[in-house]
Amino acid sequence: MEIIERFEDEILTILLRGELDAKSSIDLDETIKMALAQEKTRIIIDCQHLSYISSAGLGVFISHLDDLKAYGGKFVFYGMNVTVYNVFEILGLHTIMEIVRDRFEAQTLMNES
Amino acid sequence: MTDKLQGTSIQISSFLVGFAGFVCAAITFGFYGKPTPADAGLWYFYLLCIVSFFLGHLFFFRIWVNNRKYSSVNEIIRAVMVFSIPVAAVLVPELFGLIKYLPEQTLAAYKIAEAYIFTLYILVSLNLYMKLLMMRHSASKFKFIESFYVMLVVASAYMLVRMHLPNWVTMGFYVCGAIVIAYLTTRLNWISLINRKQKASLALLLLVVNAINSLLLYHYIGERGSLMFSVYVLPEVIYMAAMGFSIVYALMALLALLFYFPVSDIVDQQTRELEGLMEISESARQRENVNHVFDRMFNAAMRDTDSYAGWLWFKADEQDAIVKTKNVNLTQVNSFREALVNIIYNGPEVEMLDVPVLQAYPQLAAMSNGFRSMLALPIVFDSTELGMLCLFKNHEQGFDAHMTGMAKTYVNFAVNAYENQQVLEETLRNEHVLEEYKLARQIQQRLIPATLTGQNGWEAITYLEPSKEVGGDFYDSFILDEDRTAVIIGDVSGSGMPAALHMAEIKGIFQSLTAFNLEPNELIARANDAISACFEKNRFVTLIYLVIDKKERKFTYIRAGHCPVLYYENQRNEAHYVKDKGLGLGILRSSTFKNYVHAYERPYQQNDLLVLFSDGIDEAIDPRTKEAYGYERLKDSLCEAQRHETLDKVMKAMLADIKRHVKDNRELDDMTMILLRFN
Repeated sequence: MEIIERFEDEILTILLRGELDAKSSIDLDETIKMALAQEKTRIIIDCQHLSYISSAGLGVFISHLDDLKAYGGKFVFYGMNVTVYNVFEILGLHTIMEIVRDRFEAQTLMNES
Repeated sequence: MTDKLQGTSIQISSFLVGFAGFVCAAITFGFYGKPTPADAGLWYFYLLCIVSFFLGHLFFFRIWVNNRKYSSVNEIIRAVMVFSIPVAAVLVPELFGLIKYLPEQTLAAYKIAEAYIFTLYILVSLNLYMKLLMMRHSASKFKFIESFYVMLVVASAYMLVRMHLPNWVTMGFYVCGAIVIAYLTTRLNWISLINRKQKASLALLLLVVNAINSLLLYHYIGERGSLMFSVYVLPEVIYMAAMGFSIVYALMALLALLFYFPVSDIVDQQTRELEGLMEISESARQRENVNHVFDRMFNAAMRDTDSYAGWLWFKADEQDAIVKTKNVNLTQVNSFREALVNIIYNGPEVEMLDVPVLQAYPQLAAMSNGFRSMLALPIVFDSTELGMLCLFKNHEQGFDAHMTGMAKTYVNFAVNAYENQQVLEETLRNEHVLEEYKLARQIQQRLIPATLTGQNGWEAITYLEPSKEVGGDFYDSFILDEDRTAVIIGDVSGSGMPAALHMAEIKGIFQSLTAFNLEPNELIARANDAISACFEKNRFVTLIYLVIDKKERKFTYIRAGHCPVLYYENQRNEAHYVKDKGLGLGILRSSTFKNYVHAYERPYQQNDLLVLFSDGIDEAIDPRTKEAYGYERLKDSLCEAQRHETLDKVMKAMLADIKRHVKDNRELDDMTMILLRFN
């Protein structure tokens, strides 16, 4: 798992490459915690290269939902493949998280709020 | 047993032959004196007697010596010495001319006794030396030893026909004998078996034996004519050979020992080192604690380097350090160690510190209490410094390369022992954990019922296989009233022990909530509250809550983020997934959650079938193609399997299909499946 951060225009983009399993979830959790500590609360997750997400990986996003909301920020996901999207869908996360098709939509959505 | 008996009978008959020969020779000698070749009959008879006397005793003692156990070189030489005492006892009076005071008649008896004692001594010592030769024998030497016995037998036969043989045969015979004796007497391999304690006493024993041997030789040469067995020059060939061997061998042994003295110190040193290493490894093998191992290492290093003082400091674990000292003040050790660590790890490595070196490190010189040389060895394991061994002497140049190497070896040995112990302890710890896991599995199996209760109007069969000993998958059923039963199947996120603990919590939550007769929506909303209150933020639960009403012939269900229900309609003979809205529990931890709870109601017909399962089933991977089992395969498998009469067979067929897909994949998630058929 590779986690790449990029911060521009007040938006933090986190690119996930590979499989987000129990082990790499800990790294991702650290990354997001750091971002929150630096008050970077508008976070776009680039899922174009994410091939698999475990329940622990989902847990990371779920655990920060409330905090982000409290700070007035949010997660926006884009570029999910079908497998990963199915996982979000079955769990019902697509109804409470913002999942869009591409980066442009993600940025638009982020700037709307 | 028969071998032993045979050996004994040979031994007894050899003795009888030998003793008969001796008695006949003695009687002849007593009556006629020594015969001459002129009286051919008597002469040959006398020779035969002497030969049988000699050979009989030779083989008797050979068997006797071979049957005895000698544990050391010293024991053998001591036996030789014991037999040499009677020789000295008869020789000394004769050499001092005391026997001339004996009456004429007893003189012959004295000579006869003397001949017996000489012969005994020569033959016993010969056999004992042979035993010594065998101590580190090789096959070739063994043959040579045998050849010496053969030679003695041939020599005996030769004596009887000597008169009829040409001179060169005799010469050749002597040369052969000399070669065999020369070869045998230079075989002294046993010298390396002697340890330092045995050295002095062995030298003393050999001195006594050699002194008596020289008396014997002196007497033999001087008085050969008067000896009972020396009838003529020829008969003594066997005596000369046997005696020659014994005397030369004793002399060679003494010389070898003397030459061995100077090098023996080094050999002793090496022996001591080996003993030291064995001591350390022995203590490690007996699983003594680390403290003991290092204790022994310290003592061995102190002893074998002849150090006057020293200390050992070893940090066995976080809290304690083992400290041993000898002739050093305990309080000094710490400051000394710190100073040394600075030198060893930050500067040139210091092993030997002699006075000039000490001057280069003033802080050490001040602390070294006037010791003139020092050996410091760091104890390193896994490239971390665990401690240090430090030895001191009162003179300069106290530690040579050899001692340094030895001390290093000791330290390495102790570190290895320490390492082994660590590994062992870890294994035990792991085993302990495994044991606990087994117990946890048993407990979890009791928490999850084997069958679903309240199966009136419907029947069900269940399957649950955690990927580890325990897991987060679960199912349960609760009777709500006489017509309605609630069935839940769920999956706590994560796996292993943490998931299993949460699973137990959830069972409790539902057990209490189902008692309140709540609407399914309300029940799930309250379950979400309960889970939100006690789960960590990153942990959530997916489940299906199903209520079967057999009176109304309908079922109500809520899918809280869990895998959809697979529903087989018997009348239409087709299966489909009931994909409805729903959100997992513990995700939205606020009152808004209830907006995401949707209860669905459906009537059912006879023989309709529900499949409830966890994501371990549809996500089961074929290790070769990396393809997941998937919803489609599950559906097809159900359509195929549902024709079986009993649910048990349907389940078996469906599981077999999954097993075919995953093959030998060992990295499977928890797998749960419930089949439920309406009557």
